[in-house]
Amino acid sequence: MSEIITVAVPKGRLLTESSALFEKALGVSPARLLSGTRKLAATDRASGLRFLSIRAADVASYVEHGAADVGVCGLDVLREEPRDLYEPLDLGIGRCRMIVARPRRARPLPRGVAPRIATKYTRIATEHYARKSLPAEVIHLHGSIEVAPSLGLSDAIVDITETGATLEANGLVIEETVLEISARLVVNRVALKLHPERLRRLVAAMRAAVAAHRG
Amino acid sequence: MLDLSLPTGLRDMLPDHSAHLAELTGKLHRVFGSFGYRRVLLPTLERLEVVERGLSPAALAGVLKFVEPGSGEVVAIRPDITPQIARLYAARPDALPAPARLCYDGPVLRAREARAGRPREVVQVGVELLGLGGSRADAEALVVLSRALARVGLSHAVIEVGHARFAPEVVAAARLPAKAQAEAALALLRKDEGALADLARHGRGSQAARQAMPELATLYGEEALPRARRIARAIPGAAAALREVESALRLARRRGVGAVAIDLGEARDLGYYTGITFAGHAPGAGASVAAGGRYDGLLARFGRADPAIGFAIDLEFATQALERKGAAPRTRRRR
Repeated sequence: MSEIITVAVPKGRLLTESSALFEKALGVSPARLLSGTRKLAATDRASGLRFLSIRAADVASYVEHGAADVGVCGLDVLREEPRDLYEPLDLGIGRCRMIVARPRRARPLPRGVAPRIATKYTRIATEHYARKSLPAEVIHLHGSIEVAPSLGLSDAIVDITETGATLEANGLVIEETVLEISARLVVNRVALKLHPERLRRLVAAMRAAVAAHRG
Repeated sequence: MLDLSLPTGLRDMLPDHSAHLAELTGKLHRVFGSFGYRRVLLPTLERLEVVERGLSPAALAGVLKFVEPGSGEVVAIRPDITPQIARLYAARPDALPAPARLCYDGPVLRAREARAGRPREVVQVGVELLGLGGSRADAEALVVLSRALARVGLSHAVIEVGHARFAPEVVAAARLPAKAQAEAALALLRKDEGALADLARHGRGSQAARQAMPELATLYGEEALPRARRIARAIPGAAAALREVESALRLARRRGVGAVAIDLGEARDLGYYTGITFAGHAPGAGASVAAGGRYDGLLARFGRADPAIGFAIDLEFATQALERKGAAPRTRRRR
């Protein structure tokens, strides 16, 4: 195998789910390769792949700047901080929804009043309201978004939900879906040009694994 | 206290770095000169009208513009030198008969950083071959690019060739609804095969074109040309584009250009390009070190309807690639 291809995989749940796909597609499991060690990087000679264990929010940065050639990254991160990357494949894992939710018994705002929206995803929320030509005041928070309405900070929230349980526990109901989210395979633009055939095959193998996984 | 910092995204170049850039620029001009290209010096400011003729609305948003206090005219700091060359060529047919071979170097500026941490002002060195169309001119541009990259120590760079019309012709033949067309352009840019397949289902065009759409995401790597030929069989516009690529490659090969990579689905900001497009990629740069292509429509927008082709080498990314390769000369660059 000529040059090593570097793959950035996120820590946490996406690692387990994407490892199953990597194992099926390429015969190597990054979770197993990286487990039991404190190492942040591990190389599999047989496949010519090196895996980096990175925080999910940082994968796109590593790939965009070429520290990794390939990565696994949630669509929420990709759309909140747009990157100059190829996104050849929807891995179909890490599924959730970006939604607008508001308190169950909130009275509708008077006409023409811009709602205040609390969110971690400022850009996604701003673009959502801009697309609908609705005025909105978007407030950036770092966490505990779902309590913002009950504490009087905002009229609604834009956030990610999987089951809706947290929303419900906080007395919120989903008003609309902004974006369906899942993890994507991302590829650095120059890497694809420098190793076209290997990366084309890698993407194709992963695509087949995703299709088999979906059954 | 006096604030000595620079505006965001700008930097000074100290003697070592400046010497390195000057050396690279000199080497490039000597290569260009050996092919008969002559250097022109152009102003940093242009009237916005000139700049905007060469740019897409999206690219125009990234241009630094302001109003001249004297005349009230809107002027822009050039984000790209090619439209300036087009303006010059159109304005001075007396001094620049066709074909004109011109080369240039100089800084270009963007209103925002292309990517966090990247400088907004970069030095570009390039050539334009104006008033000459067809495969011979296409091949000449590829030959000059390959010699230029080799001369500055980037002979290991990959030259990638594509065509501005191939993918758009396929998408047009699939006859998508208006909304889906914008989405298809984005999906192409991302090489999102699944999204292209989904969008193709809404098309009212030929079955062949709709089937070809997702394949546009993978028209690189081994057998890219044969795969493109199969697609082109049912789509005349794509076939014409592919013929231009193949004859340029044939001529360039005869003139000593080595292996090139093909990507007929590449959709990076193609702005004014209308024919073959090409780029140079080197390990360590994280972005392409050179980019160019044929732009047969641009000169007409300035009133002298001639074909043209050219490319620019981005010295910022070229020096990055050289440093990572360990080939930076004795004059070590410091940040």
